[in-house]
Amino acid sequence: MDVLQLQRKLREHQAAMLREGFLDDQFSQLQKLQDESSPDFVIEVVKMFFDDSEKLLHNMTRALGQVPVDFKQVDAHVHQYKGSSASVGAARVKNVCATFRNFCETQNLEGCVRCLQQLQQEYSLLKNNLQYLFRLQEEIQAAGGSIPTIE
Amino acid sequence: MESSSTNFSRFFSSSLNASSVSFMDIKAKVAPLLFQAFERVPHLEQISYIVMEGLSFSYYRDHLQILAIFSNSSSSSTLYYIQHVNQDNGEPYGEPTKYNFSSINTSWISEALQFSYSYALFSNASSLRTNWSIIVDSGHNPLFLNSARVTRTSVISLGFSETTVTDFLRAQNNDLHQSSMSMSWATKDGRATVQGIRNTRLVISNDTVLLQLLDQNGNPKGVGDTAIPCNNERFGSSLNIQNTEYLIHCSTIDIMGIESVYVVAIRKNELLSFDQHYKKKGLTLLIVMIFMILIALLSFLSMNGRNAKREIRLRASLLKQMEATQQAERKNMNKSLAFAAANHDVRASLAGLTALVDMSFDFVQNASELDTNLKLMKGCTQDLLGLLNSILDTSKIEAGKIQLEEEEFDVSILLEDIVDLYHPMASKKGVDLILDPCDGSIIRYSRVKGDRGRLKQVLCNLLSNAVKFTDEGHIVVRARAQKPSLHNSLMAGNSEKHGFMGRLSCLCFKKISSDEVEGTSNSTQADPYCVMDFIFEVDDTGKGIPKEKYKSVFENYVQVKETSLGVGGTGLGLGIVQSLVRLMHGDIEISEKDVGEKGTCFKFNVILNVYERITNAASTKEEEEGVDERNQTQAPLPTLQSCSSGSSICSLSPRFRIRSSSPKPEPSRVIMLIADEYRRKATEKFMEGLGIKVAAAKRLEDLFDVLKKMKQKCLYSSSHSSGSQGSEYLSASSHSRSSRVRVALSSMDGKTDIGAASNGFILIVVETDAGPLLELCKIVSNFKRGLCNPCQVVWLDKKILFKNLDKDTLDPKDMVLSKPFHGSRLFQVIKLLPEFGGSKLNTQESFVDQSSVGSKEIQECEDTEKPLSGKRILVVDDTPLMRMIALRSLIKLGAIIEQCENGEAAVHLVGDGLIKDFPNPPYDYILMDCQMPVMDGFEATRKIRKIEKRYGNIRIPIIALTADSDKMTIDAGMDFHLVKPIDRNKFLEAIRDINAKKRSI
Repeated sequence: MDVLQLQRKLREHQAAMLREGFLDDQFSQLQKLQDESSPDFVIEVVKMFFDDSEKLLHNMTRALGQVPVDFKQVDAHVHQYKGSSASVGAARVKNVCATFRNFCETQNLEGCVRCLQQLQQEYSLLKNNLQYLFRLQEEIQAAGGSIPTIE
Repeated sequence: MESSSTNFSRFFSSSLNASSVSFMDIKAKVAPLLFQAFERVPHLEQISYIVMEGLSFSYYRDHLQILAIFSNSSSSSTLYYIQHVNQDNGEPYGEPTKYNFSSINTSWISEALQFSYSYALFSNASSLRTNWSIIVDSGHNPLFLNSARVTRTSVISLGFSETTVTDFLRAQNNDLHQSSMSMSWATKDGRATVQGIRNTRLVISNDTVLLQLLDQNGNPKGVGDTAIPCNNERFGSSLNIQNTEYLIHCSTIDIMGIESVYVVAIRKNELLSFDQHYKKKGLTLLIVMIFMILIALLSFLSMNGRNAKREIRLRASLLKQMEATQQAERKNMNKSLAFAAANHDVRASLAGLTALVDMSFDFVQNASELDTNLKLMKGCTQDLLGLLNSILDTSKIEAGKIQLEEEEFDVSILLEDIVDLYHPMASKKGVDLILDPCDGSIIRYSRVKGDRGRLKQVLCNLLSNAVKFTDEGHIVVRARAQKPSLHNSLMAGNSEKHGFMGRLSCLCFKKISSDEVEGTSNSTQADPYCVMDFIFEVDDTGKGIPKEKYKSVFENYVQVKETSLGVGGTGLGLGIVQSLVRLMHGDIEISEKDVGEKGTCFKFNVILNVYERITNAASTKEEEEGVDERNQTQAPLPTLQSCSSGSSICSLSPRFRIRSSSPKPEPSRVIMLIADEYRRKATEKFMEGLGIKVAAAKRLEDLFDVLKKMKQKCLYSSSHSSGSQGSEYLSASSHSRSSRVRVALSSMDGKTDIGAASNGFILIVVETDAGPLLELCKIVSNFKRGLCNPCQVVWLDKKILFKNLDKDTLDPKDMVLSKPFHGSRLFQVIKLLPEFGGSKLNTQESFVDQSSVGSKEIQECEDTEKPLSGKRILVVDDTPLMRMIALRSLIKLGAIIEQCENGEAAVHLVGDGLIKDFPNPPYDYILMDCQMPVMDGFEATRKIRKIEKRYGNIRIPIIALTADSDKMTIDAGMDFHLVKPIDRNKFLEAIRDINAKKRSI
């Protein structure tokens, strides 16, 4: 595929992700942080985020499965997850986390479980989208083009 | 015997041709002939000539006497006379005795006459004997008579004694006895016998042959007489004689017309034994033969077998060998294929690297360190690519397929680049890498056309070897250009082909021919090109190479074991180098060093086309004339030849363009403090070659002395008039005619005093690591003080030490060079001198090395781009993700980051840091997460504040970083609170806020 075409595609995809609220400005900030001294910075960060997410989601599921449910512990996990998602700019995940914390405060188990499911869904969506984004970037690089910077 | 009589008769008939003869005739003619015959024929007893009428003449032997009998009448009653005969001539002598014997049987004569040719008759021996015996004594043997007709009426008869025949037979019999055979013989009528067989008697009666057995006494037994059939059978009959079995064989034999019989008896057992004996012998012989044949056969077979075996073995080994060869070939092919594949892959990844580097250029500000690094990286990748190509070309070289690429390039820049490339590596090992420009000819002929890549490869290879094997001392790269010597011009000229063929065998036959074509085309069309011989030397003070290995190191895969131990490498390098150098019409060798000198000196030359600009052509021509003249007249120092005049400096490099309008000023002086002896000397020599007065010092103390002397001199000279200075200059550069002329011209212009007024320019070149910097500065500034001469200081700094060099201590006008002092840096410094284009104005300005300019720019950039430059920030967060983002963001801002993963660790770090760095705070800011395992941010903050109290007036600003707005932060002693995620602007705002607070306090 043509490099230009790929680049256009990448731009469109990223714009769509921003528009649909999967990502927010923080992600662009991260991309700006990436430079020649750390060419894979964004990918590394996102990878860490993925690892964190999986670990935290797993922890949340386990915590909610306990009887009685330790809402404080769940809240701690959600809090951490909120920080992580905010750091990478995963806006929708962050929003869900905020709702989640409210439910934790009210000790609403049903709401918590629903939020967890929502989180998992959001996470997998985000993951797919991001992976697609990185694949595009890789293809562009392989074709010899440069990754367009997002203004 | 028979034949003799007929022969006689024929003879006589020829001699006696008369039909009738008288006795006188006989006596005269016949008698001598008869006597002669009688004398000549052996065993002859009697010879006679008888005529029918009764005439006869005969000789006979009686005992030892020879007698003649003759009758001379033809009457019926014939008278016979006997007369003695002379033994010598046959003449009868004495009185013949008349002997009348009554009857002579003439019938045999007539009978004889009737036969046409020969007639043999055994005469009645008894009667004859009786007849003769009368005359002669008794006991006369019977005679075999043989008659032949001479004429119609005359007969010749020869008589042989019977005994001669029997004696002969007996002798035969005796011979036979030895072989256990015996023989008996008898005439048909039984008159004469030879009884050979023992105890038998042969009797012939009525035409039967009888063998009578005799007893011991010789009397016939009377019994056992055996009749033997005489029919010439092949097989005889057997007969028992006295209990001995004999084989009897009988056959007839004719002796002088007389039929006779002989019987041969062979003892049977004798025969048998004889037979058996022979059979046995034959058998053994046969067996032996068979045996031998067998042996022969066997040996033949075994040999055949062995041969066959050997052949089989050989074939097997041949098959094996063939298989092995095929395998090897296959392997080789596979290797080549793998090589090609790997080549492809490596090239692909290299291409990727280059592309990435290129891409990265877009993101980097110009002249930043990253930019230079990227450029270096790019250069490296390109080198790598070239190297890869060349390694893969090794086989090509061997196959003679390698091609040189012709391109125009600057050989001096190439050299400098290479030396600069290896300088850091060498200096890391504590080895100085020096580029010795020698006579500067390399700069003059720097524009060349040739294969830049290959030359670079050769130099890089040698240099990397030198760096690899040298642990102390220095490495010198010398380069000079010269007109091709006879040897080289032979190679480069028309006859190059032969010279080359010998040296390169047929390695690059193709290339040479193409070169020649090129060369001829060049010579026809291009004047600006001339062929020059560039000589390079890479001289190190390393371990060296044993002399006996001088040749073998150039072979592929050969390494000098003792020295290469633990250094690595394939041993291909020098082989490639040699091939390449030879390809460039040169040769490489290891030149021998003096005894006691360490290391190795590789020396090689290449022939390159020099491109001289047409603008320079005139000056060079002039210059060459000058050189020639000088050579003829005074032959000064050879190193000064090409650079002693101003014009030659002009042609050295465009950078050295002298301002020809300006008058010649006071000669500049250069004072150098360079620790490394070789570098000092090389630089000194080069500068002196350019007509610059140089004073060099080795150590700090030396510098002090040199400066002192210089100062005195300067003060002295400045107080003197311009004339002395002019003469001084004259003497300094009196080598050159042109300069002399120039001086004369300038003095005629009367403008010399302008130069004199400004005095000599003084350039001080000091290595910063030659001594304590402060002391150096003091010495230099002392020197400068009170000196009216324009002065410029150049500090040579090794890049590693650059950070230690505090710029405040130096005069801002001073120049700092951070790279090895040779090549373009050297020229840059020389250019500072007024003679070489440095103006007074220039000297007033601050000279800053390009790299330092770059750093300045960076500094400026930092004001906007890196507001936190140099600030130390501690990041405390438990999740790696957060730490990474924070790290990245802050590094972008120029901060130096330390990180830890919980509050406790942070407290420890701060505590340790305070101990170490007091009175300075260990960190400028601390970025603290609140929720952390082990110890959270609040607790940690409290503890840090507690520690700080011990050191008094220290308070490290702590910025809390939380996911939520949290009011607890201020209570805990934190200065600011940021909501995650960390944001550049917010962070900067926080810092500004904190700083403002600090100031207000």
